[in-house]
Amino acid sequence: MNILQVAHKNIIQNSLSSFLGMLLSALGTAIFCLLLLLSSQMSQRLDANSKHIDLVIGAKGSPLQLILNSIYYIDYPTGNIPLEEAQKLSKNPLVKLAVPLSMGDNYQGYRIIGTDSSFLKLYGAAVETGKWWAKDFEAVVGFQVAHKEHLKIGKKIIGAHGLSNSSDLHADHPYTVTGILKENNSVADNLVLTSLSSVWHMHDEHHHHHDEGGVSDREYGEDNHEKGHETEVHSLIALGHQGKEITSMLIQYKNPTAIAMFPRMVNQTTAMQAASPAIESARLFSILGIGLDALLYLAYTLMLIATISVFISLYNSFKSRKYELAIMRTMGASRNVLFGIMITEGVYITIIGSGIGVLMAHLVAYFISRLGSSGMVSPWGFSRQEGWIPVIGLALGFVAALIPAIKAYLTPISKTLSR
Amino acid sequence: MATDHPQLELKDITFGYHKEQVLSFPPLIVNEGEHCLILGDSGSGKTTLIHVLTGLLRPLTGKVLLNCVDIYQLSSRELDRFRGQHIGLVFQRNHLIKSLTVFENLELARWLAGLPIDKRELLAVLQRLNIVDSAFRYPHQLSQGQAQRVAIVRALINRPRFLVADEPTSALDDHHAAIVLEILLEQSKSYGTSLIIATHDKRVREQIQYTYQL
Repeated sequence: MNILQVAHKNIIQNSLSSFLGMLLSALGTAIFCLLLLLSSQMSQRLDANSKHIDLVIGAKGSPLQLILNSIYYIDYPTGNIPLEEAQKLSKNPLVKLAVPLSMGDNYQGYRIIGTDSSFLKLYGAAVETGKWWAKDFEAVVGFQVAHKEHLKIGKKIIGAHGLSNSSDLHADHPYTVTGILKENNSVADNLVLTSLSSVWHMHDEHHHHHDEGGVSDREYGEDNHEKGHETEVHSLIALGHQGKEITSMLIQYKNPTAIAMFPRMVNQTTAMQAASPAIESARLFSILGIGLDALLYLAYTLMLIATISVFISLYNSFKSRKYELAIMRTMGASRNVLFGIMITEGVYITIIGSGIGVLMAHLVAYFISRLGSSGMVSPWGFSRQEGWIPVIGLALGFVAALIPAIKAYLTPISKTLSR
Repeated sequence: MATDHPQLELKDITFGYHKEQVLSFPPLIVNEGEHCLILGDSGSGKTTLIHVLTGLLRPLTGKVLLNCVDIYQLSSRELDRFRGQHIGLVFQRNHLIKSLTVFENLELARWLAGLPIDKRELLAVLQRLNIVDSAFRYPHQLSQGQAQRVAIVRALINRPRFLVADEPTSALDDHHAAIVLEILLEQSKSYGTSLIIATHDKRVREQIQYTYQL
């Protein structure tokens, strides 16, 4: 027998109102925990993805859209820019690294990005198995892509037109997987990388094949050995770069002085726009922040209601148990024991509630991660801030139980017994 | 404990909530193993006296000596502990803890008094009183008579020196009153406990000679 057992028995006795208290504290904690989870993981992801990128050059349009598209791979491109222009900028002495990006297709919802090996340098990524592509229509896939789609070296994958999963397949031009990237915890994990010319070629040829009513059956693709592949590729390389376009270019500066000069130079002297990931991410967060704040207040409100509910339930329980408490005093219980029992009851309800809440939050995160293939949320990642949730649960229970506990502490034995 | 010292002694006890209405209680001495009836009409202060002598209600003046311990000199926590270990209390209506089973009520009594719990012994006690079948029942599943028996067992479970009962039989019919009284006498005898019963119940008066009239 101990305080916890006595508290537990009382909670079972008042199971309905205890359940309500648990439910409310679970909901409050769940929303709070989910917010922690999403916002910490999102800002971590956003930071990890834009860490080494100082500037994005793309077609004129919304700078936020350009950032979303070229760094986080979530929105549509603002348009295309001429490769020649972009290459001119990349030769600027202020630029340390310039990574061209060309997009337009996807594989099972994972974007297929035409780029070059500077992409790996920018993201600090490396090929884990296999090798970097040598020819057109060879591709290196990100860790998550390989993992989720069970891809191995040598496997053929078929891209689909557009940026989201669709049935408009490029079945006649499968990519051969030549390499799989090491897990990088950045967008690189969820991308299929190939050469720029593969992407150009795909779209030059696309309409031609499409008109012929090309095979659009996915089954066709995976182990198919395409005939005439080599010859087509060779003809493509001969095309050269003239008149070619890319979607955007990621820039890493050589030194910080570029921050002041380079974007202005791009915006004023070229037909392209320069967008800073730092500025646009901050803008994005201030937009999201309003929604997050609203949810946070909802969580606070629920926790407050949970506290009040536990308080009411304990106070009623105290009133109906006043005589019992006095009896326990006659059996040798000290005031502190009664105080402890009441506090334990409150804390018991809210701690269990917040435990359920944490579980609920991770389950919801799990479903979110299942729904979106973006891999933005990892449901079983526990943030350090989550360690505070039991403390919050404890504090809620303590606050809720404080007045009933003080009342129990002060219960006059003789008066209560003679009533 | 030396037998030449009284087990229970009340000296110059007065009690009152207001200065105009002060009750003064005649002195009382109960020796080891002796029983005592506290008699008086309702409103004469029986319950007040019971509370005073069990350390639940501090008197205005006077001393309560239990086992030669002046209980109102003890700190609040010492007094709670003393009460738990040396005094068993039984009330008119049983007030078992509703959320606990009969067995857990006994465990609670041991635990609150800071004494070790021997489950086998607790069951043996229930067996002796023929209520072992009810060991894992909740108080609301018991009859009034059964519940009162459990309350007595619970009051005696720590082998207290004093068993103080406030109108233990007045809520019971003749049959159960007789059983309860018998158990009180029998058990206090086997534990060597002094029985102090406040009552106006004639059925009790026939059994205990030493009376203290209020």
